[in-house]
Amino acid sequence: MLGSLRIGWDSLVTVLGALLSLLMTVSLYRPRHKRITGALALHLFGFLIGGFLARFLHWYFNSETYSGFLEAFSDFSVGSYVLPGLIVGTGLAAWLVYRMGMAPSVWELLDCSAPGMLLLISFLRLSAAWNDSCRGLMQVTQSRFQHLPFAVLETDAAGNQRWVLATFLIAFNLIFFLSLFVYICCRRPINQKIRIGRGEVARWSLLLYCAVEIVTDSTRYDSPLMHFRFLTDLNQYSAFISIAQVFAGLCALAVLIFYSRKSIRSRGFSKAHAVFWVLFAISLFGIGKLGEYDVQRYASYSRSYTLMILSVVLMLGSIYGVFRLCPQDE
Amino acid sequence: MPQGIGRPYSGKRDGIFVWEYRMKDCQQNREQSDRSRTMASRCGSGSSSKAVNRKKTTAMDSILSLLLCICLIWAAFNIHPGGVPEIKATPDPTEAPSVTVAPERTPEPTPVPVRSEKPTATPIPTPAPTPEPPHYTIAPDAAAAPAPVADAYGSAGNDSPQDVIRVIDRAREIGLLREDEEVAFRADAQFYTGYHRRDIQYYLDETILMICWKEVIDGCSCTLAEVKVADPSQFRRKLAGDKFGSGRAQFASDLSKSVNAVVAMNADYYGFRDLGIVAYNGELCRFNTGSAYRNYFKYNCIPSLFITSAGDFVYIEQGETHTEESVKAFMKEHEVSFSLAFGPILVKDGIAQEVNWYPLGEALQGYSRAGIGQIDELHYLYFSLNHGEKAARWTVNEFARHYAEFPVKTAYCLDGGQTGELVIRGEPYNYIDFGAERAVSDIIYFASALPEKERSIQGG
Repeated sequence: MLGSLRIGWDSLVTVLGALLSLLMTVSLYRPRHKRITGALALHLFGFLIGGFLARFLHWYFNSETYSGFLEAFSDFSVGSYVLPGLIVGTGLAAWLVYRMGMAPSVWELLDCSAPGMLLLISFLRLSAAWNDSCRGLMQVTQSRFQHLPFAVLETDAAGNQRWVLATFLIAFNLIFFLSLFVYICCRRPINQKIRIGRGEVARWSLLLYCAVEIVTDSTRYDSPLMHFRFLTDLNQYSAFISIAQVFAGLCALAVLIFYSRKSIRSRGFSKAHAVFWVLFAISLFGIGKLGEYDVQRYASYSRSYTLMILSVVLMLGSIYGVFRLCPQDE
Repeated sequence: MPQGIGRPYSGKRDGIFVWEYRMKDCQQNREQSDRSRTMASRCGSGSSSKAVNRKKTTAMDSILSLLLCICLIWAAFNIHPGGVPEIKATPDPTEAPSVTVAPERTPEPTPVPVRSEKPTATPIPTPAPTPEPPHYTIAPDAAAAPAPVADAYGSAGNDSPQDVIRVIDRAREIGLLREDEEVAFRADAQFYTGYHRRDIQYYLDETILMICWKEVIDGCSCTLAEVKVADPSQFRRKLAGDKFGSGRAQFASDLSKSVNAVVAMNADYYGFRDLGIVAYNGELCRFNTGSAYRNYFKYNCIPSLFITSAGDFVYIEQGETHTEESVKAFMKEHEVSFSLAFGPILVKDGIAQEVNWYPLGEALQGYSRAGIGQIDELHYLYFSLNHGEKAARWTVNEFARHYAEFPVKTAYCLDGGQTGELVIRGEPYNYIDFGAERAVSDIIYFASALPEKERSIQGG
């Protein structure tokens, strides 16, 4: 406490994640451009636009959490944020920074910020360790898994204790190591005078993050759902669907379209395209029906999550297949 | 847009994420457009006026850094990614939950003394006064009720319902049930013995009687729970996250355990839908009479059931015109504790109701149903129909007709389907559709008000 102001551990971890994210971005941006203006501007605008969008989306899909729109943007002690808003906001910020002439390319900015963004997301997940969000719905009953990082002990109001899946820590671990992996992959080309294709880091970082998010978000007990505020007729179909999972699926689809378009333009349509598209459609069916639907309907966790993970791998594989069809030289 | 796309690097050492360089950056590319060249110069990678640009960019960097610092400091004080941690009212399991003795409210007179240590207001020498049984109530803000007495639970086989009749007689003896009070449980009922059959379960202590059984009605497997409580505070509602609109969902069994419910059941699943009038802890939380819903622009789309502080059912009917203020006045007038918004009203004054159309719950299709009814003062009957050996299920109108066969004055339809669930001792009692619990946003439950130190009688 500082006077009437409260600093929570979750806030501090978030800010620490933002600082480390900035350092990571700067360390990738500076060797290429000598200056860090673009990186700083990206983080500033990303914070403002992404923060606004993340909050706005949470307000839109969980409007009953707040007493009003203005309260959602004046009292930050209630409610939460929708992470895809932060990612979209960062993309918009990169475009804005590029339009303001502070960076030579949107994709290059996103490439440099991708590992940092992953790091920030991982710290956002970690911050849940100091509040009660981002826990798993299912209990961990096997004693050999009843410890961190698999499970966390929860005490309810009646004093009952139970081990539930530590979703926040599982997500943190996966995304944190993903971030380090991408960062090291980005640093090595710089050191070895090897460059990565423009935009590839951003696209594959996004894809890998989405792959993690599709599975981990499914396990949460407080996953933001598509509960529309105005289009309420849609809610009977959409109110069981996670925003993060839909966003992840759309991102994967966008990347698939991007690579498909690129490869077809240069080499024309081939049977391989159709095969990979079918595989991609199968993977979406696996994630949606065999995975998420069965989790919610039948609570068949081991079977459903196995199929969901396999489907996610198939999704990544199909996109990689289309990527390989892209031209090797421009 | 990228000037070129790399191809996977063939060297084993670098792995799949390192691509050969196939493009020229802004410093090397001589064929870039003027705009790109200008931008490249602004980002500090080659210009004729390097010194001027360096000063500009340094100033810009400083300003951006300063703004970023301000943002981060603001974030440190304001950003709480998951919201504020919930404050647990009774974190210590050994600590007694918030239960108070309310001497001003006396229950029905009973000749059977339960306690002898209760002080009387006026000392009378001889003969010794018959001590009034104490009256317990659970504080409205208590996070959990007192834990049920483990020995107060009991079960009887479907072939020995007389055991349950003896429990009911015992409840009359201790004054929990009036002598002339009608009960829904019948020893001559056709108890269900098919797939997922269960014994009759009951619970009795000084403050609550609960009987739960499965019965065949019109060839369908039905689950019923009859509950009589001594105080209205024992009929409660629990929201996942303990806050309206928390966006959380939990299994009814977990919610039930977290509040020490004797018996719990699904409610309206408010988190899934938007319609209706929802009150919680005496506060109006949602007022959506359906103005945004097609065909219902001017009047109340679904009836809402309100549970008063006396434990009675009152309702606002479908089609009644209301404003937010009039609903608040209604709630104040009836001292509403909480409400349920699903419906329709199944039984009114003991008479089954019919609907021709209803916006929720596939009303006119055969479906799994659940409902809550009031038999008498602080006397309730939960009724659900789920899958069973016979898969046939009822429309809302059929459900209402069967509900009215029980001695209920008022009954209200709750969310059915896979949501329809009855939980006893933290475990589902009925067969849940699809064979698995669904995470829900809320339950209603009945709890014992008996403090742990005050327990003297046992069930059966």
